Amino acid sequence: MSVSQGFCLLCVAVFALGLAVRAVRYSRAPMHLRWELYPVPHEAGKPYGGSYYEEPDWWRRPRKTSFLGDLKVMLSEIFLHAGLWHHNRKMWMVSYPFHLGIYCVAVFLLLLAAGGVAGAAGPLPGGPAAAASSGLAPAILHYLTLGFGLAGMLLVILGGLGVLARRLANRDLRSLTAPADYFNVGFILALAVTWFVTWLCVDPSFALARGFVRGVFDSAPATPVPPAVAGEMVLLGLFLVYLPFTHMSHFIGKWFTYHHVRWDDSPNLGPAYERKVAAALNRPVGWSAPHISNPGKKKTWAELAREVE
Amino acid sequence: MGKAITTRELAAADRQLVRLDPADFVPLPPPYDGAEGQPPLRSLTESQKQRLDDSLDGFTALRLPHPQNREEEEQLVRRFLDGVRRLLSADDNWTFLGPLMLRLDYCAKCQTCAEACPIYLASGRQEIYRPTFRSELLRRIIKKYLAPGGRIWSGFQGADIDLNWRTVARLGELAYRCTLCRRCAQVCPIGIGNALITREIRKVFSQEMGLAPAELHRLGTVQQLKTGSSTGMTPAALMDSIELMQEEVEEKTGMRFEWPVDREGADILLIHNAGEFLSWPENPEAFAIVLEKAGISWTLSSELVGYDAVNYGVWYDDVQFARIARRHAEVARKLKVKKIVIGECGHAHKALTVVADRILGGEFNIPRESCLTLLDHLVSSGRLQLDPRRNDFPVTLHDPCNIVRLMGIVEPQRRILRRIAPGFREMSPSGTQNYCCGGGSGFAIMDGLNFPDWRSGVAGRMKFKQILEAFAGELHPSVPKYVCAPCSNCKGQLRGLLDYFHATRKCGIYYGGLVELIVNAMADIEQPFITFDAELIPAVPA
Ligand code: SF4
Ligand code: SF4
Repeated sequence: MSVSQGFCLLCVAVFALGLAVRAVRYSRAPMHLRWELYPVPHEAGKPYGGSYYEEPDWWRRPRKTSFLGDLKVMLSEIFLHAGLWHHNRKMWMVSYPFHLGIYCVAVFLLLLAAGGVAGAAGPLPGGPAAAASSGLAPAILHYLTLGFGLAGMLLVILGGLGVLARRLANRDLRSLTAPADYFNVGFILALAVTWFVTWLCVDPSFALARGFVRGVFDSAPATPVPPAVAGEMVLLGLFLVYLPFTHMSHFIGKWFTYHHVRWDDSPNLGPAYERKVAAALNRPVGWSAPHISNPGKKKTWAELAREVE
Repeated sequence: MGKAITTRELAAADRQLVRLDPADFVPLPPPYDGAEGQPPLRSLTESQKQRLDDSLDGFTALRLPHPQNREEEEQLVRRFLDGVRRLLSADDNWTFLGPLMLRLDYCAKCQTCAEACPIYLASGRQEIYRPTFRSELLRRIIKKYLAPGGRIWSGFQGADIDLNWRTVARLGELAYRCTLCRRCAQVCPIGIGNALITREIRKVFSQEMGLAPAELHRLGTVQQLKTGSSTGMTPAALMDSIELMQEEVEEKTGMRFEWPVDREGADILLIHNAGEFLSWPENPEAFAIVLEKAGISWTLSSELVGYDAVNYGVWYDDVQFARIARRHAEVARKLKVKKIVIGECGHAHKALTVVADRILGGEFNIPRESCLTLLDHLVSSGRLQLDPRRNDFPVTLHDPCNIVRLMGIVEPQRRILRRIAPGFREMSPSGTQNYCCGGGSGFAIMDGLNFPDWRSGVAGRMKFKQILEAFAGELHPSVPKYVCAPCSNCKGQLRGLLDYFHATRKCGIYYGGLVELIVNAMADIEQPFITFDAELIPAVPA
């Protein structure tokens, strides 16, 4: 493994760890008070946004939920960005290709890794000739990698330029945009352009990139790769390290904003919630306003709630 | 379009940051398409300006006095930062820490939310009312002043904000320029809710700095816990008012019956917004008639807090919220009722049924139900004799945000109206997409200084537009029209709104609850229960 390969491996580990830390942090946040918003799509049979509160004696009835309802909204949100389509079409026109490009690039990177791993275990699917000569599976892998990679890079470049142009041209968007926001889009664009140019000039079948990945898994001494390929890989690694610390990790955050807040309508009917409520009310309160604090002593939420101030 | 304002400008000198000009506001349909649609917005008087900070937009909800010296200024900033720190603590803010973290971390600044916000749109797109503006302020303050290395990275992260007393005061005021209707959250592709951040800012001011609009805190939750009601009504005054209402029911309907109060073991404890007893007694009267006619076992409570469903804590303070919710549950527990039914009060619905769900454990976890669900059940079960022809006037329905968008009770009220009001038509948009009346989050009761002008002129403008559009073609004052608003606060706001635009005199628009329409349709009651003010209805032109 070369230094650059080792560095990239480390970056992937930091990326995974960063995302995991975020997810754990959100999932371990204390139970919060309910704050859902309708329509909640898993309310079965109420597409107009109704809830179980529409039924008399709702707590006596079995709660009907529809996983399919959630799934439909989730899939159309993930794959079509339906929310943006309905509520901000102009933004969708640039943001959707940008994100679709990122999805394609993600698939491309996975295929590249799959090719690398396969190569580590056996013959490396390389250029068209190598792929064709080594069987159907490597050929499919090769062409899929090529297709996703190129489509992804082009969509990212087009969409990214669109996002930047829209943000710069529109006062409403510009006013609250931070330098970091431009930098983030710029970073992704730089990555896509670097990879595209490298593909065009040095690595037309992504065989070198795949070889770089394979080297990570290979115990044999590293075979040298051209600096352009090592460079694009290092840039990608840096981006992966950076991503979890920015709002670009919203693909993780979105799970929680939707499932843990907006759609969380589970009523407190059973021992699990009873235990959580009791634990929450035992927490000490430190707020200092006169109607709350009792200098020298931190009361618990339960104690405070009993007061008639 | 409003002037672009940066978050940095918020810290700038003494001048008033924004001057609202009604000419910029969203246009209204005829007969409000000219100057009629732009009643003036009063400024504070000079002596009020000398005392109170109105440097955001010329209005004040918090009525914050100007700090007298540097020490007071610094104290304001210090206490604010202490409060923000507590917002990020799992003990002090377990109630909303998770949602807050997500909202702070993930806004993509796509501004999709702005196009959904009635206040931003109505005001002619004033930058300071943009849903993300106040969220971004808090985010930037945290990034620069509380995050590790914040001062180094603040420029890059856009946290170009100076925290001085002006910033704090304006941010506090800004937290009272949002009705917490959460329409913005509904369209956010990431699932961010700016209203939650607004409420968290209100919490810092209330829970740490002891600052909140008097109507919500001193005259609201504090008075409710001490005297029994946010209206100041004591148990003795309640009993007097019940006696009066009983007599009125007899006069109007010929029905004589004792209202059950503190009846142990009743099936239902009905809790009204106590504002109804004072301002709209016909609403509790109509409830009593319906329940009596349907043969329901019910009771009212005369215990402190037990006769006032309001919980203003849900708008600004988690501690006050928990105290009131617990009192409500305690009263029901002592009366050994099977369930609590909440009267026509939107925020009380949301507070007690939904938000308090994770505070009320064990013996306090009494089942809670909406009056709309119960009424729907009674109307469709055929227990009441109803003749829809008695409601032979145009009716439109306002969807209270708290009951509809925030709680998912959408159809029951419509099912009822479709049965009893032949002239019923929807507003557009309606249901979970409806606009807030403009009185949400406490605004309906905030009557101090010039705030009502802002509330009616800006916050309620989109609602007024919707009402006019729903009755298009029938706006002559000789045709009485009814805006059905099954929520006490929405009614309070509609009262102010229709008054501000003289809409009853000019257009014959009235408002009221849902249960009054049900009683008005009762075939076995001779006189109409709803009476339109004949003096206000001019003759039809020849
Ligand atoms: S809150 Fe949501 S809709 Fe509004 S700018 Fe942020 S991401 Fe966009
Ligand atoms: S909650 Fe309502 S008023 Fe407040 S910012 Fe969102 S849309 Fe506007």
